[in-house]
Amino acid sequence: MSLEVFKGRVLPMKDKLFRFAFHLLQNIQEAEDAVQDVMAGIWAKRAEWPQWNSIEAYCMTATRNNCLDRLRRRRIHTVQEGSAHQLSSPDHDPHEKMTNKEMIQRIRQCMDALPQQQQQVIRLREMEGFSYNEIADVLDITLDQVKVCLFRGRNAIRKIITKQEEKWKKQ
Amino acid sequence: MEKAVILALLERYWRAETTVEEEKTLAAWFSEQAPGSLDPDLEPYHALFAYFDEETQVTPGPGFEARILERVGISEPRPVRQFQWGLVSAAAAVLVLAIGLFLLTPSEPPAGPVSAARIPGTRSPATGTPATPTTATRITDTYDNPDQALAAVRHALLIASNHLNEGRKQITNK
Amino acid sequence: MKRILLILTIAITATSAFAQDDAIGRFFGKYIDDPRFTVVSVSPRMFRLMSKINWDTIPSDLKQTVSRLQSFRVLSTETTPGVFFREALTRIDRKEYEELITVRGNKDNFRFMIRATGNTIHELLMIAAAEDGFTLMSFVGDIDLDKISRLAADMDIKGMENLKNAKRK
Repeated sequence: MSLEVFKGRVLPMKDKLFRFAFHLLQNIQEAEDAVQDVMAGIWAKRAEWPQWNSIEAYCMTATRNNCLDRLRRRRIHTVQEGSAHQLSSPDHDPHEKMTNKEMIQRIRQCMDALPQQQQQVIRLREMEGFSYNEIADVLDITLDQVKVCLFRGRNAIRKIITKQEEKWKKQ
Repeated sequence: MEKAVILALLERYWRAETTVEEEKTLAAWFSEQAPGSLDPDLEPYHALFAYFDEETQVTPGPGFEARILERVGISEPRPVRQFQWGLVSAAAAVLVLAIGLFLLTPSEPPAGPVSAARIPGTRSPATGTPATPTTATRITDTYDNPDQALAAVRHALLIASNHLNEGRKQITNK
Repeated sequence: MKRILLILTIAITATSAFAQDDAIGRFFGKYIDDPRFTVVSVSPRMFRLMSKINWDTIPSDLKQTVSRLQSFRVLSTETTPGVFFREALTRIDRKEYEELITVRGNKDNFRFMIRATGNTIHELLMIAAAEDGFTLMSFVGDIDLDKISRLAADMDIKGMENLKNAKRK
């Protein structure tokens, strides 16, 4: 029965989909709206479910597309969001102590600065535990591309960590 | 877990050769260590897994699932309420509650010295006891009298006005 | 009888529910008790008391603006302004609060959002991150942006000097 499948396989994805949408939209309310949109759309298409390879992958892809649409509609705002991060650089904020928290901030900035695809691959892997195949499905890229993105992203972060450590040692 | 094992896992992690299970092991191990307590070889990476953990903390508001179901159009059958009686007793209950709240709204100024909280651009506030803890739903006054309150509102309006104008200028200059 | 009860209920709950109406109460309530934050609040009752003071020396635009306000709140902190700025934007319901203007400098970032129905603006929200800290400022009432704009222009030169000196601190 469609309802059972929906409740058993689609609905449980709500938090994963939410986090994914939130990463793209950076707003709690909008991310919720996006997930609701997607789930409504999937329910409406229940006649097609048997034809899909994976309902889960479809959910993630649909979420991605819904979010990209929303971002396109608020084009201007996306650019502005990025700039807010520059304010937390250590040169401007003498109050921040040299602690784990600062390192986390540095990592966050690094992540936000990574190319979109690398960011998404890392998120899907590190935070959602998706396999390479699943990531390739959702983002519509090849397995190789997944591995390359993960490799580059992780090492970019590693570089930042090392740089920060050296900075601290000098002080 | 041995430091050597973790280091080995990390090396493969950087080469993107670890499995999901191995990554879970790494994350779990690091989350059990207190920051600052690790070997210098491992310490820098504590923040990495802490960051990923933090990022999974963002959650939707309460009742998310219910809202989804409502939106999708699947609603559980609900018992039909006994209309007339329910309305009367519910309304009466709310009325009593509302009157109570209304009477309780403080008309006295908060006890203790008033703290002139910081509005950007002002001199540092006079020290005093911090503002009495308040729930978000009720606004309790910071100032004792309307003259002080007006001064604060006026100052804030000027600040907002200044920045608003800067913004408008930028737009018309484009 | 039932109907009267119901109407009375709505009227009374509406009055006391005023305070929930601003963005600070709705999305940033948890900061109010947070020791890192300083809070300034002016309640509807205080605004009503204001109407009784001596307005002789006060410019007309200011008088008209204030007389139409219902409540005012500020939350500010010196801690990690950039972080709070970013977090603030994730919390606001964009269906209700639309972005009006953003002013971005080298070292600061001011964003104005408004809550409106049709052409009537009910709330002006300023979210700011600068070197001296992070600030959330909310004005609830019948908001006239043009009048508010004129306030800064109206200010006399002496007032401008004072403001500049205070900022330079």
